[in-house]
Amino acid sequence: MGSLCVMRPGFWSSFGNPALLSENSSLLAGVNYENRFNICELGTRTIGLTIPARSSSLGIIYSHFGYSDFRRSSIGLSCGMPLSENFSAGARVDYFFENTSGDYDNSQSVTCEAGIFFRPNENINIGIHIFNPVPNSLRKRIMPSSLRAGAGIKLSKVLFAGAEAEMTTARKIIIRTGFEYEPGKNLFLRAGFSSENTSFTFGLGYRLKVVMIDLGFATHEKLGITSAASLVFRIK
Amino acid sequence: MLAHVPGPGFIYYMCGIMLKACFISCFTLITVLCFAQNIDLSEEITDIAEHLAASETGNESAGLYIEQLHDLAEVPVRINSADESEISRFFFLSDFQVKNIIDYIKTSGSIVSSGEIAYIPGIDRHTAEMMIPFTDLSVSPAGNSDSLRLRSNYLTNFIFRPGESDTSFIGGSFKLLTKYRITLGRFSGGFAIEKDDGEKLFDFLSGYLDYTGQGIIRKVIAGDYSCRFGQGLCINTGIRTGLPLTIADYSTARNVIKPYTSTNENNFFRGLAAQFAWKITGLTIFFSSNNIDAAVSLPADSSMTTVEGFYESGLHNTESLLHKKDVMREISYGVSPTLSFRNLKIGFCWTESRFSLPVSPDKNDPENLYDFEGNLNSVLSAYYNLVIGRMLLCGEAALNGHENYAIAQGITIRPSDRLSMNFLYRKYTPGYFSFHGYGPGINSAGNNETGLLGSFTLEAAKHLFVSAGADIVKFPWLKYRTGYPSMAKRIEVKFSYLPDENLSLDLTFNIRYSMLDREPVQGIPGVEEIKNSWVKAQVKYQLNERLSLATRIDFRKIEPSESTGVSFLQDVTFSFTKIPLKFWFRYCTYNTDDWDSRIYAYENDLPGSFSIPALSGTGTRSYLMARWQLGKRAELRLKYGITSVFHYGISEETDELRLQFRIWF
Repeated sequence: MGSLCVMRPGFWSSFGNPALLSENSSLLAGVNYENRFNICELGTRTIGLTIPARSSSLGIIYSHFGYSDFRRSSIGLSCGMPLSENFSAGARVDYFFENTSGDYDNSQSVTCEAGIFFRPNENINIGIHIFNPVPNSLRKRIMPSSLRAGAGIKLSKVLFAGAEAEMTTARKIIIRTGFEYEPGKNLFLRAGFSSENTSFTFGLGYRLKVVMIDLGFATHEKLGITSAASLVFRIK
Repeated sequence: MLAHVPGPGFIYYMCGIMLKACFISCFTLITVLCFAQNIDLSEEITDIAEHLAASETGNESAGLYIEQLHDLAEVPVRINSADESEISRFFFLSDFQVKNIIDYIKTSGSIVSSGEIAYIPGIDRHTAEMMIPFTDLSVSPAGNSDSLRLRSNYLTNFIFRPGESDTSFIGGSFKLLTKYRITLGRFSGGFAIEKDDGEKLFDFLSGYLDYTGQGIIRKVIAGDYSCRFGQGLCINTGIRTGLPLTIADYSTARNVIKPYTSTNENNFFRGLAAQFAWKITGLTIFFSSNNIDAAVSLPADSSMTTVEGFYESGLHNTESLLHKKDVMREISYGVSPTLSFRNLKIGFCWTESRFSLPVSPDKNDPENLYDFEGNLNSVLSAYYNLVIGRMLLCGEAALNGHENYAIAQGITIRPSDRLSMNFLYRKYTPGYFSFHGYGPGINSAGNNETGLLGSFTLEAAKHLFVSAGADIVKFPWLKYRTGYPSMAKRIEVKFSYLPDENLSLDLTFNIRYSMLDREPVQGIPGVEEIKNSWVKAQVKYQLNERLSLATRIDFRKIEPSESTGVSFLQDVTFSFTKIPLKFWFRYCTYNTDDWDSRIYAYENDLPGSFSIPALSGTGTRSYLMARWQLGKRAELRLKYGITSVFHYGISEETDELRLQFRIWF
């Protein structure tokens, strides 16, 4: 779906916008592997867990990128809760750790992010997310901040479309758009576009009882294709 | 020059200042009895000011709009009075709209709900939404028992940047503003005290006493006041702004004298003004004697001290700037008689300004060839305002003693309630000077401009408004950074979709062409045409009474330099139900190639103050403002803003703290 995640409830997107955690009512666990441009050193491995707790929900995620000479890991602990019937908010605390071989220093930092999600009516979703709104004077190394906002609409029972904008400090604004179509029961087709590197994305998903299987592909105008696969288990 | 670590001495100093502010507050508290109304309108004020100043290049006019709107918020317009001078306080309405409101009330009776305003012919929904926050629907006439109660309103703003001080400053590194207004029936009075960053206490003092009547004597003001007659070519010390391209109507010929409550230290009168009316005749007279700032030249032979130029920023925070303060006395006086018929108003204005020192600009610079010279300037003008059916004609012609002239002629046509069209022609010769005049135009000097503007506003479909305008201007003589006669073009298109009262979507395209000197490699500089394109998209959503959100994206591109700027911001406003606390939060990230592609981001701010930072470079800007309501008669506001700029991998941060204490009786 063009990497849309700020307004579309789902297991992985709830880690993109913690407010979406409030939409999760099940105990879910997931694993994901993303490979950039068929280079194994540029792989990202992620595991996540969402735990419902009364009306709110908790999320834990661990992500690892890189190879033996350069590794970047992150751990996030998030919480999302509904504040009213059609409005929810969430926050997350992140810990980043970067390990480089040789004489380079390792670095670590802590930051936070927050998001909101609301439905003006039953067909429209709106999400807003801020990452790292912390002044850089409070840390040793500069960490970029970002702001994302997006809206999605349920065009029919089987079709959802959305668009979002993201801007990260010192970078250009990125516009993403995409849709998800459900052609048959438990089968999902997805496509999208991102203005970053003029990237087109395609994906499909299939729900098999308690397991959701997803595959995704994204093009890069020069470097090739990024592929990703994930499994999400409904434990309870 | 900048030191970033405040010492304990600085903290003691700040405490001393705060104690002084508290002392003033307590002094005011024990001198006056209380009555009050107070509604928080800071968001509406920011939105409306931004809309009105959308096509302005700087933030000066927006600041003026904000001040005027705060004045309206403090004393809302009693719309059911059906009095022209009262309804004309909605400065963004045209005479056409004012007349329609009066006709509506006289034929249909009092307006009983704010929603009814949008049904008045000539008032579209957008204009109605601008009016509603500042409208008092009460039908009680002025002078009844309620208005005879003593009312007063006092505020103190305190602004400083922690950790920053400039050693060249002659005063403390903070800004202080105190305003006080008292009203008793037809009488009112007030004062304003201001100290800018680095100035001595108190650099600017202003005050007034005002009487408003309904007989022959309509208004008398002693002290500081502002005036406007007709289109403002001869006298306009009120709003001096450019021409917005996408508003429904332009303010037209209207005579206003009113107390001066702003903190602009230059463009106002100090003395006495009175307005009289008898049947269809009206007369306004004024006299002013005021010291003004200027840069003085002392010739080597000491033959005569002359003024090289006027100094208008109002900032006196260094020794050299302090030497420019109040160096020259200006005496101005004038008279404006009017005749008002049912659909026609005719008026004349004559004014003269005398300076204690002669003005002698450097005429060796060709740009200054037409600049004012001497110590006496007089201007005579005639203006009119004519309504013919659904058409409004208005114009003014002015001539000054140096045989230079200015003409402005406008027409507004409303073929239907859903469509409004405006055309405005103006010609101001390069040598035309009126020191307190400013007609509709885009050149800040108020002269050297010939232009034609056309615009329309259309309710294209239910909830969908389209407005567009174009303005073509020629500058027959040289101007700042342009060493040739030049021209400019402005084009703007705006779409507003307002599906319900909680949601609004705006999309604005603005293109501006201008001509500037090209940096010369050798010899005479050439001329370069600059194209400045701006796209703005904004969504506002009010989720419920406690929470509202606004998202906005700005994109700007300058050609031929190909410099671009983009900003993305999110506003969240939240108020608690059980405790009297309200929060405004903004997070904005921006990225511009250089200063030319900077982006202005209007911010909610303290009443009586404004903040429109120019975002340039790469970084973030965020602020948090909190308002604590202290009972029914006081409030405390605190705003903390921080700007981070990334430069060669280093983040430089500047922060600012603003504090306001406000009471109303």
